[in-house]
Formats: sequence, structure tokens, C-alpha cells
Amino acid sequence: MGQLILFILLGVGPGALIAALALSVVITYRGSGTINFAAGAMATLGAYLFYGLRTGGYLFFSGLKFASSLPTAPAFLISVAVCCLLGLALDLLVYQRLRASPPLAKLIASVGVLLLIQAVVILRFGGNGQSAPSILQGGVVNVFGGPVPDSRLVLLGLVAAVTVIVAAVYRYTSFGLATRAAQEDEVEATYTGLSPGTLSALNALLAAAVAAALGILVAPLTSLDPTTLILAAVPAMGAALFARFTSFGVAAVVGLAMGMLESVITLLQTDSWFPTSGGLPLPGVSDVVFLILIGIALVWRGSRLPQRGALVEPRLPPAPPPRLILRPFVVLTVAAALMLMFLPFGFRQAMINTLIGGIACLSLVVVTGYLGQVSLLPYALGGIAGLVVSKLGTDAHLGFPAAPILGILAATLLGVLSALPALRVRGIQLAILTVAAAVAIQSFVLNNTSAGGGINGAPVSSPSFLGLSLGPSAPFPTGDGQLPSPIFGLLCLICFAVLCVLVSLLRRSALGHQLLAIRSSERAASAIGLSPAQLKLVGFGISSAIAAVAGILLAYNYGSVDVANFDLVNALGLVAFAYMGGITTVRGSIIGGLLVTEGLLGHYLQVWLHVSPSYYQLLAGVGLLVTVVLNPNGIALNKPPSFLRRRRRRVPGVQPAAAPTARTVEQVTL
Amino acid sequence: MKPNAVVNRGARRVWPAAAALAALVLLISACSSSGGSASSSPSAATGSAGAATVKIDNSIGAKFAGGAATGSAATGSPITVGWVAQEGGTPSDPEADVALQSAFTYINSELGGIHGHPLVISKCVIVGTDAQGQICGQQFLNNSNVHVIMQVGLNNGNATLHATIGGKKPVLMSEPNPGPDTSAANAVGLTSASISYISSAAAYLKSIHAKKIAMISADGAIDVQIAHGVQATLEKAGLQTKLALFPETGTDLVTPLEAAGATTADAVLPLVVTPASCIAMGNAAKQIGLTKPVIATGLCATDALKKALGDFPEFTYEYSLLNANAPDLTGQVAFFKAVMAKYGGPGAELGLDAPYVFSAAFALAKILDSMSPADLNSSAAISAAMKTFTGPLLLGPPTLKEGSILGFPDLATADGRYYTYHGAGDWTPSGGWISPAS
Repeated sequence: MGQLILFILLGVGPGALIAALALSVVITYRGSGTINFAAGAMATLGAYLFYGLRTGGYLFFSGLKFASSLPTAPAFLISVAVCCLLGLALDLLVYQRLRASPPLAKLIASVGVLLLIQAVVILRFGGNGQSAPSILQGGVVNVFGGPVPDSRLVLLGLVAAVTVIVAAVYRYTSFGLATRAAQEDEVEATYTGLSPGTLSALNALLAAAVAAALGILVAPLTSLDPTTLILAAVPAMGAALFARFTSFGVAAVVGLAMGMLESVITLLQTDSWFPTSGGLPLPGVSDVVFLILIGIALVWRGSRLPQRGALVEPRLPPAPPPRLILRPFVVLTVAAALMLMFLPFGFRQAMINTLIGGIACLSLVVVTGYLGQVSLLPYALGGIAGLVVSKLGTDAHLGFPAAPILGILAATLLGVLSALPALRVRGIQLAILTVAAAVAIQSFVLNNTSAGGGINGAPVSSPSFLGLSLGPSAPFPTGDGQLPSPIFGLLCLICFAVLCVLVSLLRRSALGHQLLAIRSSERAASAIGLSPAQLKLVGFGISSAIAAVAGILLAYNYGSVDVANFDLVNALGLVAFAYMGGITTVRGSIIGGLLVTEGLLGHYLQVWLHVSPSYYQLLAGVGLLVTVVLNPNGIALNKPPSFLRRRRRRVPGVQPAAAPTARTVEQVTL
Repeated sequence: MKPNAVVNRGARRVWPAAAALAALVLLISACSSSGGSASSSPSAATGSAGAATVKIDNSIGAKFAGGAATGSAATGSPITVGWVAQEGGTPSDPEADVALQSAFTYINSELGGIHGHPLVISKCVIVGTDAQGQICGQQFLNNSNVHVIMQVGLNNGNATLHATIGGKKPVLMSEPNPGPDTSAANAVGLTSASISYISSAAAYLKSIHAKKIAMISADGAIDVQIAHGVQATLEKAGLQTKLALFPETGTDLVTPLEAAGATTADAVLPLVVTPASCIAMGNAAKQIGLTKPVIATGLCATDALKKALGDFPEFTYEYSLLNANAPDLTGQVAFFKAVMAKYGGPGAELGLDAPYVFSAAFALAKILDSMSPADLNSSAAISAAMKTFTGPLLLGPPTLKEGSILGFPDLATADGRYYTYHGAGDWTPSGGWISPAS
């Protein structure tokens, strides 16, 4: 028992970080309805600003030098103030301009901010760590025979104090009252003279202050690097969910409890009874526990999670039906095939990456674009499908096409199971659950040394059919004879083209209309006899099957299934690329494929513009923000260039796609 | 005001807002360049004041790279070496590139290159994805000028790199990680880096009479593999171990240290290698007032760690190369520092991956120098010479033999040596090389 208390106290350190970020997330949500994935990035930035001022007297850049080093108090205040200004600027320049956009657009924008801040930190300070200057100096308290740094106890008190102050501000001040009013109903708040924009800005400022201040205090307990504090935003989202994005007290308590739980699990894994894998404690147990807790919270409180009463009703981008299907795809497929066969190898590999990325984006078109459910799980399910193909190949000697078919079935089944929580919750809450699920699958399944990819990745043999090798190193009669083989590119192309046609036909079909009806209004759909539960299961199943194709092709491409390819960062990146391209159309998935890492755009940047890969993340962050702000519907729904518009012929009976509106495209025929 | 008017007005301001945002970002990125990014060009600082006073012992260079210490420059057609670096992500090792360029520039300028041919680098960068490893493999495989590839210790992309190359061209690894690096076809690992813990830790711990060992490790696949190997070796040697894993993305090491019983064990073995986790280890030991002997890896003893913590933590460090901070009677460390000072520029990082890559560059030169000039364009001939290379390795153990380490077929050595730091620049070597056999 004594040991248990000791480890609960030790968990205060990481718990305080999660609690602080959860507070920041709740403040941002109350202010603007944004689920802020960048809360951890703001904490990181605050800690780096403080590091620069304390150790070198410069404000982030060595050119902005004030002195050899600044004392703690001014360094702290300047760092927090700069973060406040940045939070304010981001709210004015980005988030407020997305008020009419769906929550997903705001979430994507926060991912863009995260990528941008992390990229700037890496470019300035490098990818390795620093030792953050400590404010909370102190000794050690002995608790049941174990030392506990008393700085953690001080931190616990600080988090409690901040929570009480913030809660009091929102409960008893006119600012807090106004924020609550705007959160309940922006329209009513506007009629009573309140400005939702001003309130959003003030809350953004406060959220940045809390994240930065507690980031500065917590960073010395761990290490100051561009990743640790940023990724703490994931459990913080879970804590905020428990708090219904409303209660500061619950967010802080759950955040602290999560840190303590993780600490206790670290203790328990040293016991002999703890389950093992390959002779070592099972990895990822805490991630699975977090997932279960978040799942329970959602299922238990799902129907009571607050929806923001927005001034402008946010809707997902329109999902216009494709005007033409067969002809453009035949033309594009033939053109792509010729390019695969005759262009240089670097272009070929970039094109293969684009095609696989495009397929992954297609899975999001179905689940998010058509069905309206925000899920970050498809990519992880793609990893599972690849793993199944690997295991069937090594253990049962099953090859192409039997193993891929079974892999797709397995991922589809899991996808349908993952839809069960979606029967009770929707929107952004579901996104957070799928984030937790993606993390748990990565650390618990894919990272498992026995069941998962393990150290070498799970090997996958090259596909071959009727004696014809189809893999990346298969021989091919035309072209330069260099790797990768055009035949593998053609395999990817065929998969992509067929899936594009199928998803386009789905959009035109009765089932597609029904999925869109669910997206528009589940209640209205139910009223006319549709079953939201059944349609959600179908939509998730289709999406998972498509993601499985992407995962399997990726496994064939690399010759193995590596956990790193299916982690949360990649999943977030995929959603971002799909959204930038246009998450509601097949055209958007083609554009999304062009944007993916090491896709055709990246190849162009590197080979023709000689942009160093070190700047990709910076460009991705900037590109994401600019695209989301300028065109929240995605590039595919933007007006095409005038020279293309002039040549376009009207097709009888079909409305031009150039000017769709949310209402016209979602009118359904049932 | 009508509600929609707010939105419409906002929409009209989108362009200026985006322009302002883009300008802000461009300013930030420009400042980051001028503010001194972590990567630096070695050639830019070659003529520094400090460099002019450095005396390089060319006899050491000639001994480890082959050729003659004539001081003449190479003038023949270049020998292109494929170079896979890891930069721009987390982790990032720009010092490896500086070390390789410094070594090659020195060999070309002062040792006459390889049979008169200068060594040139064809560089491919992995930031952090498997796709980049695959592209690097294809790039070198499809480049007919590249007959041999060098590789830094990669945290990402090594599986796809080796899978793509598929043994068609030889790969020389400065410090391979367990997994694809140690089992790839036609590849040789010159040092064992953190793997040498597995073979040498038991002997060292016994030498300091430690019986109860507290171990901590991240829960990533590679870390777990090393931890498993070390734990099995220690227990086989009769030592009692307790291992606590911590999340790969977490660096609060106080909790795992206490879970592993660090305060009551005879010695603590933190299996951490990244700068961030090394700093976290130093911080955690300080926070709980750890007084037990800590045996860390030499990969932790970097300039970055010293700068971050004010000084190196007073641990014992396990090295698979000579410690560049400790006294050295062989002259190799002084040679390394002198070449880096002249060709790497002032302030060049001498820790982390720098000595490993520097050492590997000389080994490659020695391998190529031992071949007939006619064979330098043959991957098969280079591969054969690489596999029969038995050392000595600059800064490293005197003998190497590929395939001699059980479980790691590509490793040429798993020797390690230990240095204890007492503060204020005072290092004590614990003896010579400890090899798996001992």
C-alpha cells in the first residue's frame, strides 16, 4: 500500500502536465469551440522561450538578445506574454475565420499550428533535447521509503490553484458569464451585445497563458524536446472529454489521475504476474487503459456531451456527386500508367506513394466526407491489415490474393467494431476516441514484439499472381529497368482507379444518399425510416476495407509492416492531407495523395526546387493553415482555373459542380 | 449587425490574413537560419583561426586510412560514396555529416585520397519516415557511380533502406541498431554502440561487485530488444535484475527509476541513448538524489548533455569507441580532435554520432586502399574487402571480425570499455576493451 501511494505521488509530475493541457483545451473549447491539438505545442514553445531567455538572454532567436541571461521572473513573464500574443494572433488569423467551418476544419487548423510550432522549434534548436531551467527548486521528501522530489508536490498545488482560479473566473466574473453564454448560444449572446469574436480571442489568450506557464514549470521534470510536451495533448484530450469540455475541476482531476495511473502501471509491470510479451512486460498497457476509460466516458456521457450553439451553423463541406466517372478515370489512368512506365525512378516511387496515399484518403472520403464521422482510425486499421497479410504469409504460407483478401476482411471487421461507439457519439468526440484507439493499436498491437511488427517489422513477401511477380522489384519489359518496378506502380494504380470509381458510384447510389442523410441529420434520417446505426456500421466497414487496401499496398511497398508508418502523427497527417485536398470528393483524395509525404508534390519540391526535407514539416504546417483558412472546403471544391472552366461542357441533367452549396448537394432522394 | 455579416467580412479578410501568416512564417524560418541552426557546413569554417594552429599527426591518419602521409591532395576521378544521414527530425544527427565530410576532406587533402582518387559523398537524408529510407535505397541502387554506401545510426527508415538495397551494394554502418541493421544482407556494422552493453555490462558490473541491478528502458521495439538482451546476459552471469519500462514518448524517468528499485540496487543501468532521454536521466538522478553507481552509455556523454546540465553527470559511461573526453595514450583521440578542429570548424560536436562516423570513414578508406585500383568500381569486390576487414579501427577496438557476435550477424565487434566521470573534467578509464569472450 505504501508503495502504491509513493507511485501515485510520483505520477503527479506527468499528471500535472496532462491536467494543465486539459485545462487549456477546455478553455479554448469554451471560447471558440475548437478542439485544440496544439495545446502541447504551445506549452513546448513557452518552455523553449523560457529556456532561451534564462540560459542565453535571447527571445527564441539568438538575434533577439537582451542580456547574457534573464532572471527567472522576467523570463517567465516574457515567455508567457509571447505565447499569449501568439495564441491571440492564431485565434484572430485562423480560428475566428473558421467559425462557419465544421469542427473538423478547426481541429485540422490546430494540427497545422502543432506542425508549425514543432517545425520551427526543430529548425531553431534541433531535434534533440535540452535541459529546461528549473523554477521549482527543492529537495526530496521520503514517502514510504522512496524519495519524491518536492517540486512535484509544489506543482500539484500550483495546478490546483490554477484550476480553482480559472473555475472561479468563469463562474463569478462577467467575462466568465459571457463566455458561458456564448458557449451555450452564440446567437443569443450576440443579441445581448456580446461579441463572440472578442470572447474567443480572450479565451485563446488565457488558454495560451495556462499552457505556456505550466509547460515552463513542468518541462524541467522531464526534458525539453520538440515531442514530449506536444504528445501529452493526447491524454489531455481524454481528460477534457471526461470534463465534457466544460468543467475545469474534472479536467484537472482526471488529468492528474491519468498521470498517476501511468505511474502505477510502471510499478505494476515490474511484478512477476504482469502479462509479458517476448519475456518483457507487455507494452502500451497504459494507452489501452486510457482508451477504455475514454470509451466508457463517451458511452456513459455521450448523449450529454455539449454541442456548441454556434452563431453560424457549421457544416462539413459539400459533397457534390461526380459529373463524369468513367471517362476521366480512363484518361487519367492511361496517362498515369504511361508515366509510371516511362518516367524516371524517383518520379515513379513518388507516384506510388501518391497512389497509396490517395487510397488512404478515399477511406476518409467515405467515413468523414459521406458519413460525417470524424475517425483517425483507418490508418491504424491499414496497419492491422498489413500485419494480417504478414502473419498469413509467414505462418500459413498464404500469398496474393488470398492473404490480402483476408487482411481486408479482418480490418473491415475491426472497423465495424470500432463503429460501435459511433452509435452513441459523433463528431469531434468520436475523433478523440479514435485518436486514443489509434495510439493503443500502435503501442499495444503493432509495437508488440510477439504479435506485432516487432524490431524488424513484420515481413511481407512480394505479391505474385499466376507466376507473374507484381512487387516493387519485379522485372518489367519497358522503362529504365530501375527500382521501383513499374508493375508494382500499375498494381497500385489499378487499385486506386477501381476504388475511385467505386467510391464515385457510391456517392451516386441510394446508399450514398442515405449516408449523406445521416451526415445531415440523424434525427431526420431516422424519421424517414433510415437506421443510423446500420448505416454507420456499413460506412465504417467500407472505409476500413479501403484503408486496408492502402495498408496492404504500403506493406508490399516496404516489404514489411513497420509500426512507425501507422502512428498517430501519420494518421493526423493523413486526415490533414485529405482535408486539404477535399475530404468530401474523390477528386479531393487524388489531390490529398499528391500532398502526402514523399508524394509527387514532395518529390517536386526536393528534385526541382531543391527544398531540403528538413523544411517539409514547416511547409506542411504553413500549407495546412493557409489552405484551411483560405478554402475550408478543400482544394478540390475550389473553382478551377478559368482556362479549364471555359472548356468544360455542360452535361444535360447534371448541375455544374462549380457552385455547389451545402443545402443543394445534401438534398437526398430517398 | 447581421450574424452572417461577420462571416462575410471575415471572408474578405482571408487573403491579407493568409499573407500576414505566410510572412510571419517566412520571417521565423529566416530567423531560424540566421539564428544558428543545428546543422552547419564544415567547409564554411575550415579557415578558422583555431584551425591554423592545430597539429595533425598524419602517421595516425595513414595507419588507419591507408596510403602515405605525403600531404598531397587527391587529383584522380572521384570515388562516390553513398551516405545516408538522419537530419531535420527527432532525433537529428547533423554532427555525423560534419564528421564524415571532415574525415573525407582530410583524407583527400593530406593522404592523397584512395590511390589518388578523392572520396566524394552522395548524400541522402532521412528525416523520419520509412519512405525516405526506401528512396535513399533506390537512389543509391540506381546510381551507377555509387558502389558502396555508408550509414549513420538510423532511428527510422533503416528497415526500408536495407530491404530496398537487398544486398546488391555493400553497406558500411558506423553504429548499427539491433534489428534490420544487424541482420541485413551485405552489410557490416563497425561498432556495436548500445549493443555492446549486452556483451560487456555483466563483466563490468561484476568487477565493481554489483549484484542487484536496476534497469530502465523505453518501451520501443529496439529499446526493448536491447533491454531483453542485457537482462538475459546479466541474469545468466548470476546478477539479479529488475527492469522498468517507460513510454517511448515520455521522459519522466523518476518513476521508472523508482519502480526498478534504483535507490536500493547496487547499480543502475539506464538503457537510454537519445540526447533527450540522457538529459532526462541526469535530471531524474539529481531529483531523487541517486547515489548508486549509474552505468550509462557513452552515447549520452555529448557536448549537448554537458551544456544542458552544466557538466556531465557523475556516472560511469560505457563506450564502444575511445572516450574523446578522457586521457588517451594512443594519440587517436588527439588526432580525431585535430582533424575535426581543422575541417569541422569551431564548436563541432565531438560526441554523439561524430566519432563513430569519423572512425567508419577511415575504415572505409582503409578497405578501399587495400583493394586493387581496378576493383574500386566493383561493389562485389568492395563487399568482399569489407567482410574481411579485421581492423584496427580508428578510436575503436584493435580487431574486428564480421559475424563473430552471436545473434547479430552483421556486427564486426561488440567490445566495450568503461570510463567513470568524477566531475570537473576528471575521467578514469576502468581498463581496456571488454569483449564478449571475456
